[in-house]
Parts: sequence; C-alpha cells; structure tokens
Amino acid sequence: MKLIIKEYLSSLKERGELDILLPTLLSQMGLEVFSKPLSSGNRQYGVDVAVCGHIEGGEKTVYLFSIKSGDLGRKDWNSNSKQDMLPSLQDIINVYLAVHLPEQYKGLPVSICICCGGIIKEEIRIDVSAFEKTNTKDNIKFEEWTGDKISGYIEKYLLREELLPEGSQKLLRKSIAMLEEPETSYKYFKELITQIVNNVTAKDKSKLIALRQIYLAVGILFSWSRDDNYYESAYLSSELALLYAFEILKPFLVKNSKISKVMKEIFYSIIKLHFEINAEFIEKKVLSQANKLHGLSYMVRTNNSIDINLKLFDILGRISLMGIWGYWFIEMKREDKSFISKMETIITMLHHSIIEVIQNNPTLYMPYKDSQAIDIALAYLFLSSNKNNLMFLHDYFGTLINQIEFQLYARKDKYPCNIEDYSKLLHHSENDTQEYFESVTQGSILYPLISMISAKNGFDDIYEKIQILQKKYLKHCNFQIWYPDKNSEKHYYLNDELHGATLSNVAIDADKEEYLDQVFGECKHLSIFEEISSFKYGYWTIGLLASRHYRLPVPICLFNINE
Amino acid sequence: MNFEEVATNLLGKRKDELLKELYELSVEYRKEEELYSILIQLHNEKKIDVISAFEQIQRDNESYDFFMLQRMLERILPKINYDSVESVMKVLKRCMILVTGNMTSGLLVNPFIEFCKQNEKRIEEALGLSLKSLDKEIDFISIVLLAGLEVDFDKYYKQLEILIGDLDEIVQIGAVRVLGQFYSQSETRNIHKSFELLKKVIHETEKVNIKEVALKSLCKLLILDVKLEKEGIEIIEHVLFKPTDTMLYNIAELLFFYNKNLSWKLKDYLWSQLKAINPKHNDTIRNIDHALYSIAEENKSKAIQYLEKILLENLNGIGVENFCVFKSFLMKNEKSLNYLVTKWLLSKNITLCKYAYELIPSSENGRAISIDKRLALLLKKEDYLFLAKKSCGYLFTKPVSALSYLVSLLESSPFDKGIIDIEELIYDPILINYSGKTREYLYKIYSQSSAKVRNSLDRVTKRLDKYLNEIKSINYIAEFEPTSKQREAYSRYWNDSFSAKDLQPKGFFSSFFKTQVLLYGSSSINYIIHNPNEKGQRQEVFMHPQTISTELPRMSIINPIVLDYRLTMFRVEGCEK
Repeated sequence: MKLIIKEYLSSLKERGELDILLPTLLSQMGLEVFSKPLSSGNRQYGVDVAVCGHIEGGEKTVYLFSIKSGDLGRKDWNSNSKQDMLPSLQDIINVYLAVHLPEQYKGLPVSICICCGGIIKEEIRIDVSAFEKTNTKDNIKFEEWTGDKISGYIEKYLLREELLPEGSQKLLRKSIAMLEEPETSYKYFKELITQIVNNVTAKDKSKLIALRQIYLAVGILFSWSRDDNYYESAYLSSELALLYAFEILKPFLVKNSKISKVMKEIFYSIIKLHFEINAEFIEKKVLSQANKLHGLSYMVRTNNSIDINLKLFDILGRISLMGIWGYWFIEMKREDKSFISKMETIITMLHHSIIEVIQNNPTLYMPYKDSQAIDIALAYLFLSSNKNNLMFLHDYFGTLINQIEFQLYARKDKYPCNIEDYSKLLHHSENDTQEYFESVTQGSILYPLISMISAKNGFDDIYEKIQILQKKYLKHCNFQIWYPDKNSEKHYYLNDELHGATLSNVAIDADKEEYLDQVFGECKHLSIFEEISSFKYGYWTIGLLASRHYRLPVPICLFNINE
Repeated sequence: MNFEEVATNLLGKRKDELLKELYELSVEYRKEEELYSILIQLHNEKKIDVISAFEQIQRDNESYDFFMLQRMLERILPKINYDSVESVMKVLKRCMILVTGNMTSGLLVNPFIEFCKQNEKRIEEALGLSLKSLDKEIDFISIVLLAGLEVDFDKYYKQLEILIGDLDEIVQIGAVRVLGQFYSQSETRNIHKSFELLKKVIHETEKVNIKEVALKSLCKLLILDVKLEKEGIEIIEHVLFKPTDTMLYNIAELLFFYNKNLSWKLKDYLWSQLKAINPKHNDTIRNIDHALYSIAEENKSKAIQYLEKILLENLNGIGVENFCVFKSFLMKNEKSLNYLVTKWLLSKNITLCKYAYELIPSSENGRAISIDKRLALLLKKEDYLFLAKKSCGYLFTKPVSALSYLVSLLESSPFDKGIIDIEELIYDPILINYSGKTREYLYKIYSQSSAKVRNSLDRVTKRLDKYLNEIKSINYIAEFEPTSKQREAYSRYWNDSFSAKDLQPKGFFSSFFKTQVLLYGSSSINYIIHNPNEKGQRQEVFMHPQTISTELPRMSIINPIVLDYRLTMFRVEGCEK
C-alpha cells in the first residue's frame, strides 16, 4: 500500500494537490494547522503550510513546510526562480521566523520541513545537507518530508486498520489495478466507499476521518488514472465519492462549528478534485476533437451506431455538468474576481463546445433511449443560461423532434425507447410489430421535458409537433414527470431505494400555459429548495450529479428557477 | 465392338445386371446408333428383354446413370416389339415419375406414341388400359389418343368427342388436352372443328381443371389460325374472369415456348393477363422470365413494356430479381440497361425506381452505368438534379453504380448551374460513405473525363481527402470505447446473427457436397478408395484463404438516422406514386 501512496504523492502537483493533502494529513495527525496556502497559491515568506503540535509523542514544535511537487532536484533547488526551495528556506529563516510567526508560537522549537512528493535527488544532496548544517541552531532544526515519509504517515494516520474497515485497502488496490476495465474498477471503488460510509459512527470525528479517506481514495485513484491517461474509472468514482461524501456531510451543513467548517473544506477539496478529473478528461481529450466533423463519433471506434449514440449522450451530460459546476464555483467564490473570470472563460468555451459537439455529431439529434432525456436536460440547463443559445436550442429540439417523427412515421428501429439493457437494445431492430413498439415505448420523460422547454421558451412549433406525435403514434405512452418527494432526501445521494413521485399522463394536449401550470404546479407540493439538502444549502450541482450518475430525471422544478 | 460382342455381354444377365451392362455399353460404345440397332435386334429376337429390365430402374443406383439409360429407351422404344403394352406403360410411368419436375420428364412420350403407332392394337389396348385404371399422375389418355389420331383421325376424333362427354374429370382433361396438340397448319378444317368443340367445353363446364386445360388447348389453336384470334380472345377473357395459378402458368408457358408463333396482338393480350401471379409459383415466373428474354432479343421496347406491366400489376412480392434471365440480357446490353435505369428513375413511380436498383447486379459495389443519351436529350434543367437525387436514393448501396451515374449526369448536363448540386451529392452521400471502390472508380475514369467533370472531381476528392485526413488525425481515446460488457454483448449478438445464417437451408450448389469441419491444420488428408480390395489412395488438399470484403457506408454507423432520412427523402421527393 505504501508503494501505491508513494506513487500517488510523487504525481501530485505542488499547488492545489500536495498543499491540500498535507494539511489534511497533519490535522489527522493531531497537529494544529495555523497557516495554509493562500488562494493565490503564493507562499507566505517561504512557508506553504504551518502547523504546531506533537508528532508521535515528541516535543511540541512549530513545523514550517515548504513544498515542492515530485522529486526535488537541481532545477527546483536553486535555479534563480523565486519559487525555488533554497530562496524559500532562506525566506523562512530571515523573514517568516523573524517577523511573521504568530506571537503564540514564538519560543517554541521550530522545525523547517523540506517537503516534496518524491525524493531528494542525489545531485543536490550535498547542497541540502550543507544548508541544513549551516542553519541548524538550538531551536531551529530541519526535517526532510519526502514521499516515503508522508506515505508512512498517511498509512498510519488515515488508512490504518482501526480507521478503515478490513479489506478496504485491498479494494483500493484492486480498483487501481483494474483501471483499464473501468466498470470493474468502479465496482471495487464503490465497495470501498460503501465500506467507508458504513464504518462511520455517530462521532463527528469518525465522519471527518471518513471524508478524509474518501478524498484520499479519490486522489490516489486519480493520480494512477493520470499516469495511465485513462480517466473513466476516476471520473465515475469521483462522482460516486462526491455523492457518498455529501451524505456524510449533510448533518454538518447547518452547523457552524469548527469541525463542520473543516468538513466543508474537505468536501470542497473533493469537489475540486472531481472538477479537475472532469477538466482533464473533457478539456484535454474530448474538446480537442469537438470541432471536427464526426470527430467524437469516430473516437468511439465501433461498428455499431448504438455505441456511438450511448457514449455521445453520456459525454453530452458530462460536458454540460462540467459547465454547471463552473456556475457553481462562480457562486461559491463571488469575491475572487480572477477566479470568476477564469471560470467564465471556461463556461463560454464549454457553451461553444457543446454546440460544436452536437452540430458535428448528428447522433446527438436522436436519443435511442428515453432516459437520455437526463443528458438533454443537463445540456439545456447549461446552455439556456446564456440567452444567445436559445436559437440553437430551438433548432436542436426542432431537428430532434423531426427525426423522431420520421422514425415513428416510417416505423424504423431508432426511436427513443425504454430499453436500458444493452443486449436488448442490440436486438431492438429485429422486431417491428406494433405490439413490440408499444411495449418499448410505454412511458416517456423525454417528450414532456421537451414540451416543457418548448412551452417555456416559445418554441410553439415544437410544442405542437409533440402534441401531434402523441396523438398519432404515442397514445399508449405514459408521458410522465418525476418529482422528488419526502423520501428523496433520504435516498437521493446513495440511491439505495426508489424514491420520488411521478406525475402520470401529463396533459401535453393542453395549451402551453396550462401545461406549464400543471408541470410546475406539482413542484409546490414539495419544494426541493426546502426539503432536499443539496438544493437547500447551495450544493445544487450535487443534486444534478445524482441525476446524471444514478440516471434519475433532473427535477423539473429547476427549470422554473428564474420564476 | 460388334453384334456378337454386345450379345456376349448381355445374354444370360439377370434383370438388375442387364441395366448395368446396358449402361456400361452405352459408355464404351462410341457408335450410339449402331448400339441401339443391336439392342433392338437382340430384343426383337427375344434374346434380351429390355422392357422387363427397365421395370426395376432406379434413379440413384450407383451402378448406372439413369438419364443415359432413359435416353437409350427413348431411342429404341419406337422400334421394339413387345407383347405386353401394359408393361411398356408401367416402364414409362416409372421413368416419368422418377424424373418428376425434371425437364426430361416428357422425353418418353413421343417414343411411346411411335411404339403404339406401329400396331393399332397397341393403341386400342393402351386406351383400354388408360380408361380402366385412371391415372392422375400420367395422362396416358391424351398420349394414346394422339397416337390414335395419327393412325386413324376420324375414328379416334369420334372417340375423343365421346370421352370429352365422359363423367370422369381425368378422362375429360385427357381428351381436352389432345384438342390443342395434333394439328399441322394445313388442317384448317380440323382446327375449326376443335375450336368449336373447345368453345362448347369452356362454356358448358363448371370444372376449373378442365377450363385450365381447355385454355391452353385453345391458345394453341389460335397460333395455328389467326382468323380465330378475335373470337378466341373473347373466350379466353371469359375463362380468365377468375384466373387460377395454373391458368397463369399455362399462359406463361405458351408465351415462352410459342413466343415466335404467337401474333403480337395475341401476345399483347396474353401479357396483359399476367396479373396477380403467385410469387411462390416459381415455374410460372421462370417461364415469364424466359419469354421476356426471347421478346427482348426481338423487340426490346416491347419486352420493357411487358416487364413494366408485370411489375406494376403484381405488387405481391414479384420484382426484377425474379427475372434473372432477362437481367442477364440487360447485362449484355449496356444501352438497354442505361435506358431502363434512366427511364425508371425518371418515372416518378416509387415502385419502378426500386426496381431500377434491382436491375443492377448486386455483386461487389455495383457496376458502372450512365444516363441514357437519348432520354438525356429530353431532360430539363431540374430533371438532372431529380435524377441525381433518385440515383443517390435508390442506388446508394451499389455505390459505383450511383457514382458512375452521377458522373454521367455531370458529363451530359448542359446546365452549368446544376453542377454544384450534383457535385455535392457525389461528395455526400456517396464518397463520404464509400471512399474505397468509388475512389478507385474515379481514378479509372478521370483521364477519360471532360475538363468540366475533372474540375468537379478535383473539388470533391479534395474535400474527401480533407475529411479523411481529419478522421485519421483523431486520437485514440480509451474512455470512448464501448465497455467490455458491451463489447462482449455485441460480439455475442454478431455471432448469433451469423449462426442463424448457418442454419439456413443449403443452396443449390452446396447441396451436392457434404461439409466437413477441420478444427486444426492447414490441409486436409483423405484416402480415396476406388476398389474395396485395394489400399486407398492418399490425397492431401491444401486450404486456401478466401476473403470477401465489402464496404459499409460510414454514416450507417456514425449517423444512421440522418442517412436514412436523407435517402428516404431522395427516394420520395417529387414522386407521384
């Protein structure tokens, strides 16, 4: 296990990764963290992390960490950069200790920790030792915190048997080993996360440890995925980790205690980790091909159009959700203008990319499964946030409905159906009887969703077309809308039971105002913004993520949010 | 080999051995006629009994070949003496039943007639026997009556008239059938007499089977005397008021076998009657196919006219695919093929447009075709785009045909403005979907094309290259791959689809062979045993790889819905039916 952690540590970046993990670990070790990296990422006079306390029964000491990612070599030691290790250490001695160390810690022994995720290379060994020897004084010592040492502490303080259920470490190893088989890797990761959640006791500390463990597990899996350049398992696992972590966090959302703050911070770190995984995958891999005609479709490398359709709608949901996370980050960090500007750039780029992806990959104009309405809903939620996209959305839904009409009219085999099983979907084209058609189109969330979107945005032609489609071909189909109910809060994030209520046979034959009244009127019976914690406490993205991950319809009330 | 040697081989042989010997003689003896004379002599001198040997003949006996022996019987029967007519009839029946459905099934009829004609007593005896034990399988009555009419017309015609009035349907059918068979054109009097008789039978009988045979006999009479045609057609109309499969078969057979003898008026009429053909009735369709071929050799436009009529009036599963003989004519006549494809694509009739696709052989990716130059003279500007869309819509799965047709439209169009639209169709849906064979075709025709076409081809191939290069530059991304479960499920689905095909019945050719599966190795060793007493001869057959490659349209995977939608639109746009 130590090897796995060492590998993980050596892959961590200096900013946003190692400097987040280290305070988490040190806190878990019982030390008081009194200084963390600034949001700008700049050091405070050479110090990245400052803590105070005892390590393994030693003397109470102030530990000042200067952090470097990966191995520490000549390049990072002293190559005339302000960010190098040597000038940082000099800053600590000359400035931080002299004028910046908080009053209450003065007089305590100080240990300056040269910290890196990997090793200290032999090429600078003499330089480091010489510096340490020259600057060691009675109350100032030097320590070297390399990947080996940190991983030892992680193993001892975060993953030891008493803290982690039996077999959990094995599950993490298995999940890593099976990264190339994402479904299997995800399965093991899910078992691991489930064990962590089940191991939580009533004590707050136990919950805190669980969150830290989840963060660490996702981080380790991500680092290995990055090495393999294969993010599928990390993506799905981080989604699941966020949902399970939210379940643990739920009771602390209303509290303002110190521990709840720490927990929210760790949860935020998991969100950032998930966003980073998303960004690595979407930005680097997906969007680079978005501007090519049929680019993403060819990337599926298959002889089967079903594979392309399933994968591309999945990708559509992921890109859209990433954009939605962008809005969430902006809401969270209102005061950080440079961060907001960065996020806004990402959002604009994602708006543009989604439109490109759809236009260049026409399979996205025809959902083969009714449940792909979930991805379409996410795409709509994201794109409709910019009014300039409304014309595109009108064209998109118009084409989509026209194609469905053609398929239903000509009784072809590709129309939105209720088949979820892949094998059955393969055989779908073999049966063209009316009886079969009715059996695989018994219910729909897609048509009511598009009707609602059309009614809301004045896409009257599309609204009327769906009315015609229902009359002509889909009389037997139960047009329905799902709403979270009282039980939903209990099961929303773990998906351990069915929950929510469905409004059956929604009247799309009514005029659009009446239809909207019916659809949104039902929201009044249960306000998700009062009853569902993720929406209530500002983590609405978690609710949407649950919809994507567990293939639950997106709560319709979210579409009425402006009103 | 002389008489003695043949006699030595045959004398004293048991019945079963005699057939084997006769067969071996027929293989060894080069002078066929000489052998038959010897056999007739031996039989007539009662040294051998050919008829009794044939009583036991089998079709699948390994010791001899049935068809060679049947031919032998065919040649010697008219000249042999045999006391028992009944035995000869039995042999005849046996042989005919053994080859039911085979083209050789009627070969022994004329030799038997000749056999009977040698002695009128044989006719009387045979007729007696035929009437005594009525045979549903073999119509001996008509055969014997034919022999009788040739020997003594008046006597046996009277007999025939009596038999037509018989209560038994088998007897009636036999007699009615004879009415269409025994004339030469000089016997006008008899033809008219028979015509009247048939007219009477048709009007009086309620029995469909009799009407079916009468119809055939009547048509044969019309061939012999054109003067009867007008009245004959009226009678046929009456019979065909409720046509049966057999009636349509009879008409198709007449059109095939008597194509050259039928007048155009009668042909036009009979072709117009071929409605509601049973698609399962392969023999009828085969006869129509052959008849079409014969007419096409004589008058192409008539053949096309008849074919169109049949296709449009028989929308119950009969298509161009059913007429492979006629198709082979088109394959040999490029101009006719181009004419028919252009005519049908221009027809605005969806059924005919579909059949334009069937005209082109389905091997490989379709053969090169082009617009018919004569029809092109009549085209308006918008017709070129119309034809271009139709060729994309209907010939899409035969990409070389579709492409060659589009290129020919480019070449022949005098309207510069429409070129861009046709060019666009060449690129998408043709080249973008099939960039293999079509590209080869373009290379092949490039140098022979006009500057106008070359410019267009340059533009589309440039676009295609850009598109293909972009595809090639796409990075491999594991996350996009179907999951292992999906891959397994798809592989299972694919294998199941193929296994299902394996279970299909064997084709004509493969039915001759027994399939053996080798699990390992690259050659097959067998010992061929020629003689049970000798050691088998070792034979090693090396296996050779056989590959068939086919190009699937790209968009059927990447963008099947839009492809389907576009092709459908191309097909139906502007069509009236």
